[in-house]
Amino acid sequence: MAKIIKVGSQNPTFTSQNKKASFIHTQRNSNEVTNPFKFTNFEGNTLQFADVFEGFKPSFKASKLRMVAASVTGSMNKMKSSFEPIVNFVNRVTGYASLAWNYAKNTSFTTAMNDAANSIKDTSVSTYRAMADAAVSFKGSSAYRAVADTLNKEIEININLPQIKGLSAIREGITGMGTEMKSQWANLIAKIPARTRYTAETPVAELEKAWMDINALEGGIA
Amino acid sequence: MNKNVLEIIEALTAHQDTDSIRVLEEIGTNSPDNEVREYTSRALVRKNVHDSLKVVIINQGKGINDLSPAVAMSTINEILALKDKTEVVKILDDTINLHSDESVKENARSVKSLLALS
Repeated sequence: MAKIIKVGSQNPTFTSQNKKASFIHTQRNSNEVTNPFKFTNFEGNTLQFADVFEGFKPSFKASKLRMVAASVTGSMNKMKSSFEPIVNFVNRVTGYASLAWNYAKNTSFTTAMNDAANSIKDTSVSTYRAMADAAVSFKGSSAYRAVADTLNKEIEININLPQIKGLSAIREGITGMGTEMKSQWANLIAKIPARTRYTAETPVAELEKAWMDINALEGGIA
Repeated sequence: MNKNVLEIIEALTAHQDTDSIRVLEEIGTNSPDNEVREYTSRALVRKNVHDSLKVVIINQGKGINDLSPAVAMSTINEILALKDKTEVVKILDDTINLHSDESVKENARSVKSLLALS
């Protein structure tokens, strides 16, 4: 039984939503939502109808501190569950990185190149042929032809042989292609005439034409 | 601004051929680019001959009468920087006395006042 200090002088206010306190039929179920004595101050030593509340279980006065603690605990549990996939992901990546590192440490260069070559081997023959045709289409370049020949050889060579030599040839061909392109580019640049200088000795007609050409090139805005 | 255009304008400024004034007026002062018009106006003032100074003083929308304040002020500064101002004063007087456009006359009066103060 709740300890009652005194009965306050206030009259309880009954709203239409609240059930009126039944003095005959006592509400002994403490789980009921309605509380007809919600606005009554039980500070007194006696209660006018104290006997009808025999067995009335005190309502749980929720401590604010406890409520806050409970919500924090609940949210922490939720956060923990959302962290789970992240942790799994990190572990998975770490595992793969570790595997890759172990492979690199423990695998000889020859073996690694063979593995790479085998992966190239899986490329379809038609792809190699297309690459060779594309290389040949660059006319007049010996380096391009070397690449094409190498690729064609790659197709014809028994792919069970070590692939390292084939890859080296391709690498040399590509390097040669780069050198060829570089020299051709330099030749092209050399053919471009030097920028015209305009001076007071240049004829007015030439200056006028040059200015109009610039305006035409730039859309009228010089 | 295009470096080639700048070079052409400078070449026309120093050119002895009087046809250069025509090119500067026809192409330079009619350019939609403020910077080109500014350089052209200054070039015409630096030539310091009657025909070139006339272009920047009496024409509505060119030189000291340009709609761009930057171009107008730049032209006026170039006029003020001239060593020999004889020809420009003559043209300003003629403009103030004879020009039909009141705004052009007003601008000429302003420039002449500035010349007197400088």
